[in-house]
Amino acid sequence: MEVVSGLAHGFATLASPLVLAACVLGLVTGIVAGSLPCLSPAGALALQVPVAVLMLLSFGVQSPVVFVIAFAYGTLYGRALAAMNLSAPDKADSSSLPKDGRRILFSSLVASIVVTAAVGVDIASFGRQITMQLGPAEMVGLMVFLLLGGAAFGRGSAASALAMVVLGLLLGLIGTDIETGEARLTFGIAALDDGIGGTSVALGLFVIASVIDDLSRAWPSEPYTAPARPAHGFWSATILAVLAGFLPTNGRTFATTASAARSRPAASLFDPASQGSVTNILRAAMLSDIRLSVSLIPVFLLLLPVDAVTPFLRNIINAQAMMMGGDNMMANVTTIAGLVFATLIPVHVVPLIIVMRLTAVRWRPITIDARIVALLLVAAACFVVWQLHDENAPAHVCIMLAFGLVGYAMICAGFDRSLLFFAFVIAVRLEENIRRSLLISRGDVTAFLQRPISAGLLLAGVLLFVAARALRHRRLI
Amino acid sequence: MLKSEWRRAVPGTVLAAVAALAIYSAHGLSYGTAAHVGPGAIPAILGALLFILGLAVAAEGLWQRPIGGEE
Repeated sequence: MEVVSGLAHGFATLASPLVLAACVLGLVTGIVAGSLPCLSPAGALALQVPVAVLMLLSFGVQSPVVFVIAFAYGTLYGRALAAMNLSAPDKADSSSLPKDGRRILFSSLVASIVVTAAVGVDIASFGRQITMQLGPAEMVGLMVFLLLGGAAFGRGSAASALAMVVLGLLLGLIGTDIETGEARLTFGIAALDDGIGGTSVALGLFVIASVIDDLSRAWPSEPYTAPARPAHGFWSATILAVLAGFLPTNGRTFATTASAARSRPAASLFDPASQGSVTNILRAAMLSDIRLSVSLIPVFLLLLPVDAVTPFLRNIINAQAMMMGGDNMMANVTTIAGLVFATLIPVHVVPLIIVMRLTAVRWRPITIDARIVALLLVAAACFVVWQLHDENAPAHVCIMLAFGLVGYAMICAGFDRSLLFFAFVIAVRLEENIRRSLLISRGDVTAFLQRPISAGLLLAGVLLFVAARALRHRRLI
Repeated sequence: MLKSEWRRAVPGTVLAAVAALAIYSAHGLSYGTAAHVGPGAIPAILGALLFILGLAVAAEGLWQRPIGGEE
């Protein structure tokens, strides 16, 4: 009954005019942002942070999370629209669309049902009871599993992926130590005493770096043909998408602009921008949609970001749960879960209908001057960082621009920016749990291996990393 | 100009240099004990790990052909 009442409450909240307006606004701005050149979905999500704060002030306490969820799905389908625009849709094979369209709609609904059911379990407190049992050692095991899972499927070699994880963790520890109050890794720079802001890092890595990268790459003028890739069956691809949702795999797709995706040596199953035909673009958008939907499950169960995309969602869930007030924050999170999964229905269906309708009509490809967009994006990124920091705003803008240059160097070197960002985001929580579990075990470092859940997660992480890297080495995945 | 093999070793070398900087910075902080981990311990461990990985990436650049392709 809790499942039904939670969802019913979610739908009732969604039906209120201001929340519905936030949903529509999120979808529209998301679709526009996702279809812009020089902007990746992760960059767009970083740019919307002040808008979500504004939502909280202007559209009521229930609106920000609805806006962010709608925005995230909007960017995904905006990316599909950009890919269709670049693929010269008037030459697309439209005869196969009705059948595929039905499949895609069906799969999208399956994804909604899977996610809604899973969160229904969460609302019924089953998942919450399990996660409440997790101690610091188990949380360390879980976070290491996620980091190794991300490195397993991350860009570049095994060593470079692990190096990005470690570098991200190091950068995340910059600032004042919570327990002792000592400044760490700050080199005497006052602006670093409070640590580096996640939004500054995200804007640098995903907006500034992508702008430099896209401007340095010639925008394709010819219709795009995706490089060949072994085909997956319909159900196997859907199962893969569901499994990928539980691992930190969203970041790689979301951190890449459409132009960068099209310069890949092989098309990605989950990236609409890397596909050539309209059918494959729709299929990839649907698979990416399923993957994103599934990744919301661990976010709600653990309130822990599971990749480079979910920190933005986790932060807004936390902020909204606190703003809702009351003694029980977990009850607020459960209420938000109901609202989010009510929101998932329109944000799945509406963009899908828009994209499918657009496949049925013929239009001239729209060209946007990437240089103008780039200029606006850099200005917007500087404005956002300036607005978010009351003190030392110029220093934080410089830090953001420095991360932009670092991000561009990482693109050139073939390093995975999304892995670095994910590790950066969870670094403090990982360190906190390591310290706590060592304190509980009185300094016994084997404590992580003595507890079955922690040991199992660590072993699973190592096995996943080794197996995935071995398969990638043999080019089997 | 650097030869192409040496140029491929640059990213790994930069990572190792960053790691060395982190170890140097963490050196002035307390490492604490196993039960009471100090503020410098984890940055120092991560710095050492990054140094090793940086060298591995540099070695990879020297001895392997790049996998190729942008993101």
